[in-house]
Amino acid sequence: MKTPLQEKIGLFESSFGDGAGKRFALVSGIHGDELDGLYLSYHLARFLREWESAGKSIRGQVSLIPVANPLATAATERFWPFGQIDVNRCFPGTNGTAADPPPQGEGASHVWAGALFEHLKGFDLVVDVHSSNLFLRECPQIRVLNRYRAVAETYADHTNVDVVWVHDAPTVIETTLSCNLNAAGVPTLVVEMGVGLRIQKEFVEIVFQGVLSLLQKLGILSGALPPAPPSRPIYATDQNVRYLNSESGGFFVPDISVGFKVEQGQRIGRILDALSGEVKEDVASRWNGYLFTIRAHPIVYPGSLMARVIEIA
Amino acid sequence: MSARPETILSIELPFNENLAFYAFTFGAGDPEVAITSGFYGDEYNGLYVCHKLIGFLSEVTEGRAAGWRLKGRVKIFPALNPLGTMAHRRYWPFDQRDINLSFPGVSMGETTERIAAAVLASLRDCRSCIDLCCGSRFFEELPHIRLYESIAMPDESALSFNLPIVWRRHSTPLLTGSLAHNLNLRGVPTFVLKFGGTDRIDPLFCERVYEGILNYFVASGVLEKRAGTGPAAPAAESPWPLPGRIIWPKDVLSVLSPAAGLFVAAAALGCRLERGALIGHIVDPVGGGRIAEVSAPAPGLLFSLRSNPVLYAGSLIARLAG
Ligand SMILES: [Zn+2]
Repeated sequence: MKTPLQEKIGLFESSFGDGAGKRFALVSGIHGDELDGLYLSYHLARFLREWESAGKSIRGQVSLIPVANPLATAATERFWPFGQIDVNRCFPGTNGTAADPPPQGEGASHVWAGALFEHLKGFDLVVDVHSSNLFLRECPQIRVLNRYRAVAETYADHTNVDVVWVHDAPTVIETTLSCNLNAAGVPTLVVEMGVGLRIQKEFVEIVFQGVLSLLQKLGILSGALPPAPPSRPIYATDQNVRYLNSESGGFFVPDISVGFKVEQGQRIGRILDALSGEVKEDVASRWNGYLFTIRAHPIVYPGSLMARVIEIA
Repeated sequence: MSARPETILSIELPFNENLAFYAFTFGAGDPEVAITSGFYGDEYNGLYVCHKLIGFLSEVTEGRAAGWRLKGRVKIFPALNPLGTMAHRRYWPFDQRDINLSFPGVSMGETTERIAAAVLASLRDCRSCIDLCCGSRFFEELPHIRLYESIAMPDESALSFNLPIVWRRHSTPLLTGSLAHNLNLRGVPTFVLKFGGTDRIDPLFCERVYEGILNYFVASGVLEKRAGTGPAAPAAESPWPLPGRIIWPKDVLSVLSPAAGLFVAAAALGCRLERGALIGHIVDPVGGGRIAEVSAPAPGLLFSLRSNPVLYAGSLIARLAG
């Protein structure tokens, strides 16, 4: 895409494989402040290069699109910087002609989304990697709309994550990349992990192993790879996901990270008052279950989301 | 001061302060009409119109506006993103969420959801709502009304605002979180008034909108004007032909940029353009040349015009009502 200064911003992709097989794409950075996908893509590119130079075959195609919103990533912003538009609310996008105007306001982000969407339509499996936002830390997990649950069930055991969240969605989700690809018949998994503007190495390592086993499942990689043990993720649904919200404003200091079992009453952190030195609130799980989200941003308003727990009876 | 300021919500900030959200009610009868404004902290036209309305309605309720009587109630929410207005941020400054996409809200949820829930609860008795806003920050808008959704909407009441265009728009998935959509669902018609641009006050547009709202108050039986009473403000020549027109999506022509560059407008908002009339030029800011000429693809009234000059290919430049 040409910029107003007549330079170009490109959607860069690196591809591996012989083309004679299934096509897999890894996309990340649609939200420019989510960076784990960069590190994941680096690992995969390195692995695939070494795989190829060792003379082993890559059947089909592996495409890596690590910086799907380059202007935002360059500006350390989450959204399309010009107008603060969430690109993941712009799909299926437009082709930029008068016959296909953007549904609202500024058009460039919709044109960008349209190009990305068209490009990904021919793939057999797409993984869209996200790193939460600045506020919440997520353990590696798959997210999928209830109506595409079958996609998760087909692939989730080969993703090495602990949690699959099958959710019903507000209408606004209709405008995401994953929803539009799934609707177009391209199986798409959303992976969430970590927190915005940081790289969480151990989470990236987990998802990296997951992508390798997906590539085995698709028949793209085979041969000398150690067989990946199938993971048995916990399914989170709107029935068993519990939300823990703060009652007071202040700043939050967590006791623990994310991605393990908690017990009812177990403290996960405290909301503190800087002026008085007092503890305003002990934040404790109200359920036995699996803590898969915890607050990362210290500043807390009353009602801020502090944690999400999958209740396990 | 006969306005009754009511705190609809007080939010405990993280560092021992409280932030209050106010509504002002005038009159005690029925029906109740609500005015919402200031969801976006970089928009000031709505604040100015609220200032004028609050001033006038105070005079009416105090008996200082001869010939005018308030029969119903008017509830005004002038600044629904006070932190954003203070900090010059369009959205809720802390997490950049759009309050006007947070409806119906959650009373014990995140801050923006609490604001939405408090506003909706506070609107439970209103019969219609007028939401005052500018366009996006890239555009200036000729004053017009947007009606979302396909609920039955008496055209006369929308036309009684004396604005040139009433645009009946399909809702998009994104707009399902808007106040207008959620009130419409509850059977409360909501008139979204778009006028002017961000980061400034457009006095002429504000004047028209203010007079239009008073006209709507009279038409909907909220406000009574004794025969022979002059208008609230001097009736200037209307800058556009009245009555206004109801337009549908098929009547709206979006003019998109064919190329990236810098947009320099040649036409003015409110012009009636012939087919092929010049709207502006796209120039190359570094190379010095002209990249493209932008002209009207069909005749129409120019009612949205890009004010921010930075264009990508596919950027929206203008909207015409054909
Ligand atoms: Zn994301």
